[in-house]
Amino acid sequence: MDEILQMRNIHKAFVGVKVLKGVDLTIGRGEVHALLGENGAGKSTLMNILTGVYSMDEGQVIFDGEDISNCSIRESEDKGIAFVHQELSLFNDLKVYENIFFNKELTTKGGSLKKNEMIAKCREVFEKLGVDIDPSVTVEHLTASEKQTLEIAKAIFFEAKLLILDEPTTALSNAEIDHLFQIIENLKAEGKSFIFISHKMPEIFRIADRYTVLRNGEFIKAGNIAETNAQEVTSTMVGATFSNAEIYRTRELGEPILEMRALDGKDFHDVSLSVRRGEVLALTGLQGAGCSELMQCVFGELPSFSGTIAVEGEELTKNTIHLAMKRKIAYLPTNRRERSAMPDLSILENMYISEHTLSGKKPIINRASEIAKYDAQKENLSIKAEHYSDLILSLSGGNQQKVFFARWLNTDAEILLLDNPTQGIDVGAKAEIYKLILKLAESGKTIVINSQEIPEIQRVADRCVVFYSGRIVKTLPHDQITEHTVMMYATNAAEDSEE
Amino acid sequence: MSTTTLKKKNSFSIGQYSYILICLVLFAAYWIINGRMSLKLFTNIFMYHSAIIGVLGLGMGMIIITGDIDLSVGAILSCIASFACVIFNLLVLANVPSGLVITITVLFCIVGGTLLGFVNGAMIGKLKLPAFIVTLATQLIYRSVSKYACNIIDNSVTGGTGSGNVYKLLNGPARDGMYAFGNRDLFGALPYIGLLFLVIAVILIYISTSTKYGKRLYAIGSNAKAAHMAGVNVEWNRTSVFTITGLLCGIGAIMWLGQQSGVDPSTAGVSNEMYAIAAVVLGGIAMSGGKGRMLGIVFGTFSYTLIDKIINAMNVSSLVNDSIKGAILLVAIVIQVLGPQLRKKHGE
Repeated sequence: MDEILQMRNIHKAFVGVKVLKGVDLTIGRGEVHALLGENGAGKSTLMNILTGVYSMDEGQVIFDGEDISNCSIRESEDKGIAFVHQELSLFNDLKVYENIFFNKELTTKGGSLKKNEMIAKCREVFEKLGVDIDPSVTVEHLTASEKQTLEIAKAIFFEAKLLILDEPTTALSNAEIDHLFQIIENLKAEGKSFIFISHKMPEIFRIADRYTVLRNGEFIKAGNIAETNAQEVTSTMVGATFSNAEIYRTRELGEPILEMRALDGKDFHDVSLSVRRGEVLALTGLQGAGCSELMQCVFGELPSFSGTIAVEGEELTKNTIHLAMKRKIAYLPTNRRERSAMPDLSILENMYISEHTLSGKKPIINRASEIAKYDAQKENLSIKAEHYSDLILSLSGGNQQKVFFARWLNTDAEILLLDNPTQGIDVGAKAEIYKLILKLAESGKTIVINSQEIPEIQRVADRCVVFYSGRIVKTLPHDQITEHTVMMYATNAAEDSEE
Repeated sequence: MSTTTLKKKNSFSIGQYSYILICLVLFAAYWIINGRMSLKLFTNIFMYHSAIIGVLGLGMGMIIITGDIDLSVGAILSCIASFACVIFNLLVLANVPSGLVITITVLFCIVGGTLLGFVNGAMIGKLKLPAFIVTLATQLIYRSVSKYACNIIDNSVTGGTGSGNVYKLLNGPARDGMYAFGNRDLFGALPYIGLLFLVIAVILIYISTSTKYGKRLYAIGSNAKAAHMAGVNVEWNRTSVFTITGLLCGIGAIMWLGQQSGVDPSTAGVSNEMYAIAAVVLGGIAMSGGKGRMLGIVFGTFSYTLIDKIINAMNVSSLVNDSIKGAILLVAIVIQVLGPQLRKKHGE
């Protein structure tokens, strides 16, 4: 095999914690190589070593026949390695061609920019890639997929030989994914190589030639995609802990605890819903269907225009978070990093903060009793954390999310609104969150979960309410929740909608 | 990915207490340059000269912990001290008993400072205007008002003489009382204003480490959106820190009047917001908010005073004074910002 990249026996530790323990990665010229592993398996660290962001403790990197171990970011770019990040690194306020030529502008001797030449060169490359983007338009006007292709075009422009694509399809529709894959195929034919990082199995089996699996910083397996299947790859990734067993059980539900009547807001209309004590109710719909906004309205974060919300038969008189919390409503926001985590605070502080806003009459913190409460929650939710005084970000995504569950359970909330609770959490931790949700429901908590992942809903929900552009179109009982049915109503393709 | 920041928050490391180290080094440097040290000199530095900047710095520190800034602290101090002076003189002229004069003046400073701080806070917390601009604007307003008032109020009331645009406490037992507070020592060694500063410091350190309110301030500075979603009333808490800082400025004004027996509205407290920020930075509090200890500000203030004293002891031109302070501040912020980055790069 003609290898473009060989990473051998890579070791890396942070603060004494070994993150990579002798990882090997070999990429052939002109292949799409899937790099697989759960969050925290070491993929990002490995890529950051390859692109010069981190230095490694031990090991060797050979790229295109040259030893580039511990190179700088600039050197790795110059050698032809391009990292297309998950969070795109484009300047929204600059034009397309300005982004492509950023820091590498074509100038006259006097230093003024050769705009027309740059625009013409952009057109050339776009045509070659089969991309239809106007080089002189401002980037903020581009769609997510156009931005994605622009990032790739940028790499191609400067003769990248190896492109690292980190979850490139997250924000793309199916048609856009097809287009992206077409571009990848074309570039592959030209001899470009790709490292493809993704959690989506169907895509991996569609586009990748070979794969490497990492687990807990160790090299587990490499091979040809054609010789394996999704089930096998998944179990290699998660190791022995993975279990797909059905965990849902029918439960006895209590009286209605949360009732919305004719609730109207900016992104949802005429919503009437009644949730019973101990129930797990799923809200679902396409992006922008209004489920998340509805939850935020119940929590007092977004205003309602008309209609009522009642908890245990008693109406909420004001639309504030504080009142919602007093009435035992909790809201676990989507986008954990931005809307839940306080990165400078410890695990303990991150946990007790919400309860403190309810017990303001006792202004002094009783450390011993807070620690006792934390220990109880840690046990209850099986949070894997070393010490309560560690920073919250020292935990994995799944364990961070459990701390935020603990934050709300600590307020004695009865109604838990979970907005996309498994976002950015790996397979194994997701399964634990599902178990946790059902355990809480069994103990009498009422749970409303917003999710677009239908398998997730199938595993936990008693009922599923499907939204289409802010309105309820269908309510499905547990045994009728299937990917097919939900999608039919979510896209408003069904005839018998409740409207 | 997240395993890269496996750092204990509360585990002991020398880096966390570097503000004490800086302070000790500066103290040693001062001792060497000055050639002698006495108890009087010691309390003079750490209590008498640190008190006003320290009190302003403690307020500034709380604001910086929430991720904001207050550029108006010096102007509030000057403005409140000016009008307190007028009230003091009016009461003296009306032959009010001196005990009552002092009580009313002190109350005025506290209430007035709180009010001016609340004006800042309401605009920043409730109306969500940027703190930098709001406090820059109020700085200009507060200072200009006290200067203008000095000009139009009769000299018999301002206590100034000739065409001098200053406020002076009128002579008498009330002024002597104020002077004693500002310049005398408890047990002949501990300046009263320094003691007041340390008492306030102890209270605020306790609030920041052991109360729910204190932790909320850190939460807001760390991630205001997340704090809001966790139920924290961000608007009110922001308003409150600016109000508390206003109160501390009022106390600073009392100290100022005690020390100086008067106030020149065009020079009093000028650049004090910058000195307070310097004390906060030297105290190891991150300008980005959410990080740092109030205890650090006490040592930061000491360090700041020591730098001042060292410059004086070296007999350099007083005009170079601020360049040296500026340079030291740059070094402090470089250590604060680049230190962790270097450690991260080398995977310490």
